[in-house]
Amino acid sequence: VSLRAQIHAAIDEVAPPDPSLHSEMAAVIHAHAARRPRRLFGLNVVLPVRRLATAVAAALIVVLMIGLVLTGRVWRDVGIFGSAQHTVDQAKLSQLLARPLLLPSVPVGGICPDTPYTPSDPGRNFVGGYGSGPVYSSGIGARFATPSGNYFGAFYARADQGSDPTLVRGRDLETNQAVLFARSPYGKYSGTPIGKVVAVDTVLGQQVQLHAALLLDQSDQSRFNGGWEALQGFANGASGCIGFQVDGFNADGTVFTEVFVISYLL
Amino acid sequence: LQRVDDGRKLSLEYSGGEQAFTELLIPLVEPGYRLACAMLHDPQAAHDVLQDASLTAWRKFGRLRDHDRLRSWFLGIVANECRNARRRKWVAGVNLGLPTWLSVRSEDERVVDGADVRRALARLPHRDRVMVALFFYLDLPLEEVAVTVGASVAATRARLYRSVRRMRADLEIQEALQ
Repeated sequence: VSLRAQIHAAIDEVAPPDPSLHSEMAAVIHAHAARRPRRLFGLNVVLPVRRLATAVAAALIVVLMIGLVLTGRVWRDVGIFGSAQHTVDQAKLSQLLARPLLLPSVPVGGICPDTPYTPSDPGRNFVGGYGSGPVYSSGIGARFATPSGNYFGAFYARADQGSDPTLVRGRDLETNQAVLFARSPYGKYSGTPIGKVVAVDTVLGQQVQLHAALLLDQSDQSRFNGGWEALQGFANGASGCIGFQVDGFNADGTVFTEVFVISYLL
Repeated sequence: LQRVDDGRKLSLEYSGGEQAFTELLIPLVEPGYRLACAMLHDPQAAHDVLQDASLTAWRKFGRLRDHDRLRSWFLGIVANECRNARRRKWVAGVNLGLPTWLSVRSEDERVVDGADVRRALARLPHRDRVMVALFFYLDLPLEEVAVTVGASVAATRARLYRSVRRMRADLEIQEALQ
């Protein structure tokens, strides 16, 4: 028995003849003829409804996605800056901004007066950092180099609770260049750079606006996750001996100033 | 099977609307149904597929340029609809027909029974199964099989050869197991 005969026999078992098949298919076609595209100016106008609907749906999805992204960005920018403007005590913030920088200077080639790193203390649930408290900095995080300078990710944490603003500023102790702060491009809980935009750069493919001060807003609980992320930049020419000054309010309303120095290898 | 070879006549007839199209389709219904049965092994599913294929052909007929290849074109649509049907849940598995213990076996006449052949056929990849069905079941010439599946004649011949070897191997294994 040939394979052809075997296949014929095998398929014929599951393919019973159906004399009504032709009329069935003709009926199907006639039933759908009403949906046949109309003739327009003597031409057959094909309206592929399903394909058109698919294209429209795809376009809507794309528009929706773009809208979500744009809206999210606007919301993020407006919302964060808005919250900084509306929830932060502007008088207290102005008070902090008015405080002078009390950072030492280092002669060119001099020894950088590094602040000792406070090791972690599991008993106090403290992960370690630079500073004498209540604000601590992780110091040197991920580094991103651009043609204009170097940026380091940093994380700030405040040990006590409160709702008053805290301000971080800094400068290179040798060259006197200001430390530039930007919103962390990869972080969710970013601190808020404030003041005028002093420069713009592209980090991790995103344009970032650089400011000379960073606000740690404790009143914004939605962004408070034990601390704030930030991007700290040093323009080309910096020595890497960087002094930071943190100004804030204690629980009793008095102002504290905290200074620490970190050496960055640029 | 009767082929519709006159492309000019076809175009003129088509301009008459669905009636003309239906007349062109009628000679293709039976081979389409048989192909669907060969692919799905389920007459009910083959009916559904044939309906879908007929409507698809109706919608796309205006794009068919080479009317000499009407049958190949339509059988290609049927084959695609069969693939779609197998993807759908309601054709979750290939119906292999009657269970072997219910089929009437005549050992003198049949080396292997139909279920084994269908099972071996079902194991082939979709494209190979289409080729085998067109060539061995619909008895189409190799050239037309090649046109239907969109391959060269040489490639079609080679794939058919491989498919037959694979089917024979499957059948032999099944025989040995029995």
